Amino acid sequence: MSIDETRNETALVKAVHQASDLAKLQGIISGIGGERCWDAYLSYAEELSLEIGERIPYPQKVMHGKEHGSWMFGSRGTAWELTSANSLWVSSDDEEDVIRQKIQVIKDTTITGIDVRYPDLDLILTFSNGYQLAILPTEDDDDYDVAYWELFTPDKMIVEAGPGATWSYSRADIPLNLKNKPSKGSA
Amino acid sequence: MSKRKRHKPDVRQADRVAQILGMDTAERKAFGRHIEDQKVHGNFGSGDEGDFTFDELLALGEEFLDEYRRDS
Repeated sequence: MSIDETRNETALVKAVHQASDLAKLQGIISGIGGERCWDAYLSYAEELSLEIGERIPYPQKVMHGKEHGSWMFGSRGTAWELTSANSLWVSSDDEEDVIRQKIQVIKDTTITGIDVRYPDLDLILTFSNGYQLAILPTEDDDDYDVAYWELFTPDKMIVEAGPGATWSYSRADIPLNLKNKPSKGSA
Repeated sequence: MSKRKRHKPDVRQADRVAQILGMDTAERKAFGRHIEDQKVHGNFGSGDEGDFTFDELLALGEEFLDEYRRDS
């Protein structure tokens, strides 16, 4: 293990200096390949959220009637574009009502492609109907201690890319005030 | 590339509330959905464009977490 990778009981944090530093990340998120994306919606702060895989009802009354996926994706306020045949269909720059309506196009599709790109940690998801979702971090996103994007996995883990040239894989059931995620560049 | 309001600060604010209240990331994710539901059901905040202020988010978060954990 290099000094650019830290690991403890709850987290793996990896600095990204070269494309191969994304290999493990790519391996983890490739699990959504072939899974069904059955919901696409905006969460708080217009965060694009996707529910993927098995449908799991929330047992809590406060979440009555809602389900989540065994995989859950969130754009974390980072800019994104949804395209079809290289033509822009909708993006995070569009009005909220337009976004809510147009993202329905990726509901009930299968995820056929997952690609994280070096060096910016762009994420490209391809859907079975040909649409492609690109999460496109910019330097401005590094002004906030918020990931570029995140993916919850079926085994109660969370993958977070960014901010900065780093990604992490950690338990999703650890209180945030007890998490000790190294700041960018210190991994 | 963004022409509209940047949402990163709002995401950061909700994250801060989640951190203060000791939510885990799965709870923080559900909280984000819950807040949005409030707006969909006409329960807006007192900030610009109906946004919730930090104090309003904190109060919502306390109430949410209490109910969420009661059934977990």
